[in-house]
Amino acid sequence: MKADLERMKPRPKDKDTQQLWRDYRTGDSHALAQLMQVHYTDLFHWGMRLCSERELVKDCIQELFISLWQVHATISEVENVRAYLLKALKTRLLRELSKKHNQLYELSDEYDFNVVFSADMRMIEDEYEVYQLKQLEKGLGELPQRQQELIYLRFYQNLSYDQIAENMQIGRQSLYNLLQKALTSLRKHWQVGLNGLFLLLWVR
Amino acid sequence: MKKYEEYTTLDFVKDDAFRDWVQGNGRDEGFWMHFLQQYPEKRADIRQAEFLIRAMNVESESLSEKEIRNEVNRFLEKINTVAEKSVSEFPRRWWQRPVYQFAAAISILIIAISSWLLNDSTKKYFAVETKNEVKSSLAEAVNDTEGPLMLTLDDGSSVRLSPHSRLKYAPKFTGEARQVFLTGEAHFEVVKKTQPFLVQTGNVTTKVLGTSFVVRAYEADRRVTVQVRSGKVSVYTNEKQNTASGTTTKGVILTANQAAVFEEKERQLSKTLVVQPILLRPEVIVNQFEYDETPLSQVIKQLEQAYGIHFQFDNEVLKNCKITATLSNESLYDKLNLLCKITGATYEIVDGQIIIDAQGCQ
Repeated sequence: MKADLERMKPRPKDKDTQQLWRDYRTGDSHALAQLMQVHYTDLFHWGMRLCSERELVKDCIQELFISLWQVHATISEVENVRAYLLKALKTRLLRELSKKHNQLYELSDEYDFNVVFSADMRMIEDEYEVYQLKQLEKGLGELPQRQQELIYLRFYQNLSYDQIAENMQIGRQSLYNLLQKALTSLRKHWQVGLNGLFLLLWVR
Repeated sequence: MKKYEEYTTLDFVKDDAFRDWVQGNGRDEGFWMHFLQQYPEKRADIRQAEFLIRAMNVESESLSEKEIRNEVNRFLEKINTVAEKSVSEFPRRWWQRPVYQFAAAISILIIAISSWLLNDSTKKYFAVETKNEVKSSLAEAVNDTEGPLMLTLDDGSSVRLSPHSRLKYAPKFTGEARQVFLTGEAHFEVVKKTQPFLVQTGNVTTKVLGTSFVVRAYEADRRVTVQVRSGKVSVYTNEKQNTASGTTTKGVILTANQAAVFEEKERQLSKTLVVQPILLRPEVIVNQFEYDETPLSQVIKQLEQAYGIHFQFDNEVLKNCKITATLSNESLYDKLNLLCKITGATYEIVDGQIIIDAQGCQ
């Protein structure tokens, strides 16, 4: 499965990207190009969730890095480069979309978020388990968009709760509540009759 | 230690280490196996949590490595065209002429400076200046554009001021020294005169006697760095230090390929080497870096001359070390790494010199 292969490709270590960021700030354009290279897949994937036009997403990523280059001398240290870039791209894309649709989108607003969850079926052979995962997929698809975004940022982009709160412009407590809500409603989708089965599977 | 035995399904889902394990990124395979054996009653919760996380998977976008490479190249091209365009607006691209790369007495010099250094001391300095010279009215050039700005100073020296940089200078140089105050980055081409040329950047002064160099002093960094590409520069701190032996002004003299670092915390200058030493005398490399059973000491001597950097090593120990290798245009440090690998030696940079530590060869 292609998705799996993508996943296997490890994300760059935070330590390394933070060093690249420092190099970029001293005026090293290749450090910035390298940051672009290592984060491109994640940024593009994120961009496509907010806007489904490939070329617009690519252009926004270009412009993001060009404007970063222009401020290299004055920009400060950031706590986590990847989280910073994801948020910066979102801001930029929402601005573009606002212009295009003549409607103002902000980080905390009800902008569109398009994600299709597709369960990781590696090593899953049992038919009933496949069925359960399909049910969960469906449940995820029915969640409100903000909850989907939160789940995406947490489980696909691996952002921390603080980074997600910053990205979605909501408080940490509201974020927890939102996640709890999402997970609880998901569990309803598949609870029945599973517990017994699990025990059997593990004994096997 | 987290109390995983008390975790519910949802607690597991939210846990970083657990998620990493399920997604195959974890390093704790053994831990979770052990945990399951220890708390078999947690198996159902863990399996449920695993399923939730598996369901939250998202397909990746089709995006080839080539597409990414193209985008990165597009970016690099774009920012380079912007830079070149602004550069070519200036007829005198002296810093690009090869002759200056080696012949100039002082060609590259980089200074970065912290905000406090500037806020504290430059302000103080300016305050003192105004008092003493009764508003000598310094001119100030500010470059808020994205391209460089060319200035000519009273003595005929020229300055290429980088974006987001400021330079304060006297419209007419009087007194014993030609003095300028920099925030940001600038390339200087200094006309030789008997009065020294001083670049003030907060706590650190860089003093040169002629020709060209670059000073960099943006506010963001926490240290001051001066890098010299060729020639001789003296760098010193402006504050007097009270030591046991009396009051001294701390300073270092830098020659080609050497650098000075002023750490804000320690508040003292130390000498090291530039990040990317350049070949100062390429003509020394008569053998094109091809070595055939050449004694290591001889290779080092050649590097010493070509890069103008002093090496320290024990001639007696290295006596039997012979090198057969072809080096090319890799950096000096790559060359050293290779030579060290061949001979089982190590090197370190101490006080602007390279010290080779070897066990000797059979």
